[in-house]
Amino acid sequence: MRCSVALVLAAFVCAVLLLTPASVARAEMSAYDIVKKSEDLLDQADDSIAEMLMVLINKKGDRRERTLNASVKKAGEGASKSILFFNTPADVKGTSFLVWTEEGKDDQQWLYLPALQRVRQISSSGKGESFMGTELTFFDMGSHDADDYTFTHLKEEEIDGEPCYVIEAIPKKVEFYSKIILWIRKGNFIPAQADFFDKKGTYEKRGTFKEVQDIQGINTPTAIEMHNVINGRTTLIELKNVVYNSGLSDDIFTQRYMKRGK
Amino acid sequence: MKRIIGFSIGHPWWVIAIVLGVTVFFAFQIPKVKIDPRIEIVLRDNNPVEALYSENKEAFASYVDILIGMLSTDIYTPSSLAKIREIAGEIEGMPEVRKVTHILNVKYIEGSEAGLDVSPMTEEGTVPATPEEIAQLKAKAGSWDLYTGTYITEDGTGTALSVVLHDGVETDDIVPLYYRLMDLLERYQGPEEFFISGPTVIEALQGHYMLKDLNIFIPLIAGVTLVLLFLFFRSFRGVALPLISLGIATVWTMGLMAILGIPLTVTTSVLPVVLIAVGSAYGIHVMENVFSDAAEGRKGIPGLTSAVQRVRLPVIMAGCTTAAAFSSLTTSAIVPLKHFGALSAFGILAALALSLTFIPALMALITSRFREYVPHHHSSRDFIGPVLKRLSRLSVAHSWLIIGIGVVLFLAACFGALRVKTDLNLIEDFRPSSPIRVADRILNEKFGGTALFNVEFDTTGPDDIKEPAVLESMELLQNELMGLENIGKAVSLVDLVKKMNQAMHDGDPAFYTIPPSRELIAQYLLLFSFSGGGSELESFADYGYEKGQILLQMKSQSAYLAQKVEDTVNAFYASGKTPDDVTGVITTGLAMLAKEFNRLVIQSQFRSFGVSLVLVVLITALIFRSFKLGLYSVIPLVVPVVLNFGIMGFAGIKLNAATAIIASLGIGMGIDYSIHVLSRYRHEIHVHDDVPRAIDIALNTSGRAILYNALAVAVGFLVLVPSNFVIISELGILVALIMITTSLASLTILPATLMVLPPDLSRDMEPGVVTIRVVKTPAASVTGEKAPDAVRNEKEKPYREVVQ
Repeated sequence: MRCSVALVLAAFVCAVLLLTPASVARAEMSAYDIVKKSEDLLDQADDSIAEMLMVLINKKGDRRERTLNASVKKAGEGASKSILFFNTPADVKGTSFLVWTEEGKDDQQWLYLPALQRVRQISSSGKGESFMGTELTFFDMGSHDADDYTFTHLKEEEIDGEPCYVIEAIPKKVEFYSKIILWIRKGNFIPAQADFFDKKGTYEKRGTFKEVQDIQGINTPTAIEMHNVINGRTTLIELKNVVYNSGLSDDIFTQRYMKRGK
Repeated sequence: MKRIIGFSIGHPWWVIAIVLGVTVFFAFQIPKVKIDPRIEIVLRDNNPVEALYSENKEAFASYVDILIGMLSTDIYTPSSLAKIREIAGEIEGMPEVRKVTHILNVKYIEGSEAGLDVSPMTEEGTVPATPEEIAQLKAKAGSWDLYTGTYITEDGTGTALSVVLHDGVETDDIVPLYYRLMDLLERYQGPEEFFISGPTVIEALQGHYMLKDLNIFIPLIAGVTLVLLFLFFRSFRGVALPLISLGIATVWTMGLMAILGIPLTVTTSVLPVVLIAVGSAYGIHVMENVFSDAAEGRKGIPGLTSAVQRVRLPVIMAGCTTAAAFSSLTTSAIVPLKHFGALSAFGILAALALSLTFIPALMALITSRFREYVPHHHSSRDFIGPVLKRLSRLSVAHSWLIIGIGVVLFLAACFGALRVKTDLNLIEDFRPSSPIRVADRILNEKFGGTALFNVEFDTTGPDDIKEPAVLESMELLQNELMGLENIGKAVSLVDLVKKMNQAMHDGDPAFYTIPPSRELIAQYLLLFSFSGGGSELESFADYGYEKGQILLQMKSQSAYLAQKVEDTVNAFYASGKTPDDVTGVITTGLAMLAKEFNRLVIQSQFRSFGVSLVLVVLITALIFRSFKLGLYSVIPLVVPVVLNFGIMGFAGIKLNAATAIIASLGIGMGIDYSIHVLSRYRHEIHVHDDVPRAIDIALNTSGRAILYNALAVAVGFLVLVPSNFVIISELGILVALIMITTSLASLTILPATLMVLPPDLSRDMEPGVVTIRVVKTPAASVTGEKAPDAVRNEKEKPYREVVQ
């Protein structure tokens, strides 16, 4: 079972969303059940397309924008493929990034640089590094296995007037985060926010789902904020024109297609 | 004040309660005092150079905070390499640490079948063990000169780990971190040797040593003062009362420091010593008068009251002039000097106020409850009497000679003063044998340099740094800067882009160039960041790629080097070698702050010197109600102050954040001596109207107090000599010296001037005293044999003041 536990901030990129209406929660649900349910709800569709706007804001309030198109498709049990095409900044236009994930294996990643006209395979060694200067790391962008974590239901709490389950996720093997605290809305099982603690246990950043839209019957977070409390930077991600289950071809998720651009 | 003194003696409990209350309040503030040894705070207060430095620090990620060098005969052995991996792993586990870069994990750029590969030098977590693997690492490390001098020495005998800390790590956290690192490295010691340095550590250790210093200074100065007081009074209360009131004044000052948020710096760390050494005079004055009155039979509360009331004015005068001279430092553009000026003036006034309220209150209490202390005049051998006699004879008989010597000394000192150098150099503040300085020296010998310097390119808009023309101009300047002496290393985006371009072209050295396409450059950098190098780039370009920088590693933090770099950069920019996209090339870094400090310290030295002279002239003129005497009073101050700078020039002692306080200190203390001599002189001239005789009496009476006080203050400042900082040590010696020279000047140059050019005091004569002034020639001077009765009377009362 693959779950994007890290608040599935990357849900829109790597995880694929399904169409199951939110069921009513039962009080005796375990922490694991809550997370799993949340994951299942986000992970309903077989494929998805979206336009992404990333706004990078530093401590001083300077803003930088980048836009990209993302396509994601399920590729069998516990596997998925996704591809990103960069539109801005202008000097990286046409650059594309392809990721194949498979349960129990390292992700395979390729980068196509139009100025070099070559596709490069990238090792996954820099997973802790920032993705495109955002406050999300490559690790955040990837998908995560719920079985790698131990969940504890801490309490219940309201976030913006909505009651939430507060669940602590501790990885069985600490790689990038030592702890993640998730707030999952009791009403629709869509996460509200998540706090990330770095591998030394320091509170590092908070992700928030600012906006959730019903798209083709799927509750979809369309505005996400990641605020890094250590360096004071914030990344806002907006999803536009989200389309589910359009029957994306496997050909899109190939090195050959990368070069064609969007 | 008169009323307050009366109240203090009449209601001692009240005064004691108030003073103790205030003291408790201030004492609770003291733990809030922050230590801030960072260089940038020296120049805060809207200084443009500091602003550029802070902006640069904000825009770019730190390149290296702590540098750890590992030296051995050959580090390319499996065991040495394994140690690098293990040490780096342990350090990365420390909460303050953001990352550790070393020769095994630094990014290596090479061509591959798919174009180009950016990956760590060796695979994560592995250590080259076989001869082949080691040979491969060696070849890789030698393939790009970026690594040489940064992560590896040219001869392979040393390697360095560069530690970058999290943004939020405060200076306070660094000292414990430093010691944890030392302990950690201790375990790996042998055959490899380890050395830790780097700008962050140097700054933090400065703060640490400041505290260590205070732990020595405070007991030492208390001890010295205790001994001096005992030698002087030979009584418990004579020792305890002044010491307690000085302690209280110090607590108030340090408490105020906390309230005002003034940090402890090298300069402000000498405050306790200054206050105790300088402030002791007021308590001594008061006590001495009370004791000697008691010895003469004026005992009990009435005796106490009259003694304190009589000594009131001279003590206030002495305190106010000293405080005024210290406060002249508040005009300085150097922040710690400004702080020191304000706090020392406050502390002096506090000590003054306490000596006229708290001490009399305690005395009143003790006198009424216990046995009154009546000193027995011990007939110890008198060294000072004959010295004073000789000085007065000399000043009177050979006044021109003394003035001549004064002028010659002054001119010689001026010559020396021109050679005074200024420098703000944290590492040189430490003693040459201190571990940090040794480590720093060795690391500078072996590697590119521990001092960092930034040359920032500003462009018109986001991503413009990636413009080939911009990078080309950066490369040009970088090469020019590498030609300068003591620049160990210059690194920028240029190196990364060139290396990637070369790798893309099968490693052909002909392609170790900047590619002509902005897109290509942008995509190289994107690839670099997608390959795990994102955080590295943050040291070379800002958030929006609007600014880029050349990082210079230098072997010295000196301002002179900074000047050379700045000149080169400015000439380069002025010559139009940069494209239009570049809107400015800025030189910044700690060494630039040092340079700015030098400019300001000289300027502020002149200003505070001028201000303190003016203040002192005005106050003395006010005290004497004679502008003329105001002017006379500063004559004996000018020579010692200039002499101090002369000595600094000849001895190569630099003008810095510590030695910059000496002039004000000399003036503040010296003016008291002038006032003592002049007021007694004026009194005598009105009585006797005989210049030589007035001088003789003035010197033989006030001279004793002056010499005692000067010696006491000098000895007090000598406690600074064992300081952990060279600059504080030097300060101690120079202050001791200036105490001697100002006191001697007031006993030689001042009377000689009075002899040669007697001021016409007929118009400000004391009321009721009518005299006809007859100027006598030096030949007809009164000599020691004919010392007037007054002198003999005063002889038993060494500290007796006769002002007024």
